[in-house]
Amino acid sequence: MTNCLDERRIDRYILNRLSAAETREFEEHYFNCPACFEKTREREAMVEAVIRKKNDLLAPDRAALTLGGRIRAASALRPWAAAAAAAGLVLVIAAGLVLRSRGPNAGPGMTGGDIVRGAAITALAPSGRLKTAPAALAWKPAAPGREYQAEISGPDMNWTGPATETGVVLPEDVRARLRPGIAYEWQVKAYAPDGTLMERSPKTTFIISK
Amino acid sequence: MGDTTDRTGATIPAGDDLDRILAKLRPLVGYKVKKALGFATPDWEDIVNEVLMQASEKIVSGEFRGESTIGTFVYTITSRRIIDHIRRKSRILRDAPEAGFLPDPHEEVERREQVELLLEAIRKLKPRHREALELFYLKELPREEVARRMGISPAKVSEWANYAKKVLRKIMAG
Repeated sequence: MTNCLDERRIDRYILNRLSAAETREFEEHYFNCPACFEKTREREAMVEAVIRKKNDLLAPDRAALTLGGRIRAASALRPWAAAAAAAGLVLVIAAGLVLRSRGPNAGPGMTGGDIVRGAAITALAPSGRLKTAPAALAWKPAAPGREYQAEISGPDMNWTGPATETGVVLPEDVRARLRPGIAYEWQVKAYAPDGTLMERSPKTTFIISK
Repeated sequence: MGDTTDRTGATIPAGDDLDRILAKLRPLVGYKVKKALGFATPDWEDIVNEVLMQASEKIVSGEFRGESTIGTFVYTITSRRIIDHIRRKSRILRDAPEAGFLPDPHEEVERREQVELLLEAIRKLKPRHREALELFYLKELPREEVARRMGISPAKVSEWANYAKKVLRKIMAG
């Protein structure tokens, strides 16, 4: 009998990448090895989750990857960009301090390295205590020609979705997952057509009353 | 009815022992059948029951002589039963009207390749980042629960999980 199954081989089996002979050998092994069968089943669940969340794992896509290089290039050519970025950073940090003071569920920390050009987006709603789960997120539009992505994060969820320049209607399944008594944060980010992150709102907290 | 021994001296199970062994094999047979025929196939339970019944009959009748393990024996029966099922279905489908929509095979290959790359990238993550990513993003456990399991603060969970996503994006971007 072969040695117990390694992750790479399990992945290839799940993705139907093994040859017929390799598949037979693989399957015969797990029919005789409960531990490897459990490993395979768990791995399958992981693979399915990766398939389901593939876009989310890779979001916000190339914007974050190119941001550092583009900011550096822009700052060298346009001095005002550095000043605007610094102002944006101050706003972002200030918003983070306010959110942290609101309780244990302040949510994911701000990554200090992100610098955004231009002004922050003004978040309109929701915020604070709500009677029911919000149906939509709303904000003031940033500069024209932006592509928007909204995010909601909390202890039990991380959702990202495309949005218009003024807001997004929350999908029903996302609304259904928002639980009373839990602090959630939402944020909108605006990207240039080439994927550069241009503006974003501060993270805004809301809680649905119990 | 007690167990008997085969020509090699190994014990061939019987009675309750046999039932217990086959019950343990049921999920494995089910998994293989569903994987072979599609996870949405409605016939899978019937096939699993037929496989286990056949295995039980062959063991009780003495047809199974202990030349392989019970696991291998049941695996062989399962494989043959799946082939029979596919052949039978193929004869029926040959005369069936064409499906209105068929998945694009190129899209399927592309999707599989991308998922495989993503899995490879996840394997490359440091264990703590990988675990945070798996528990928080993939299993969608509450942040507090992930923190409890990993023995870290909830804020650290978010930090490591977000960092893992960044690394994945970087790896996938080449």
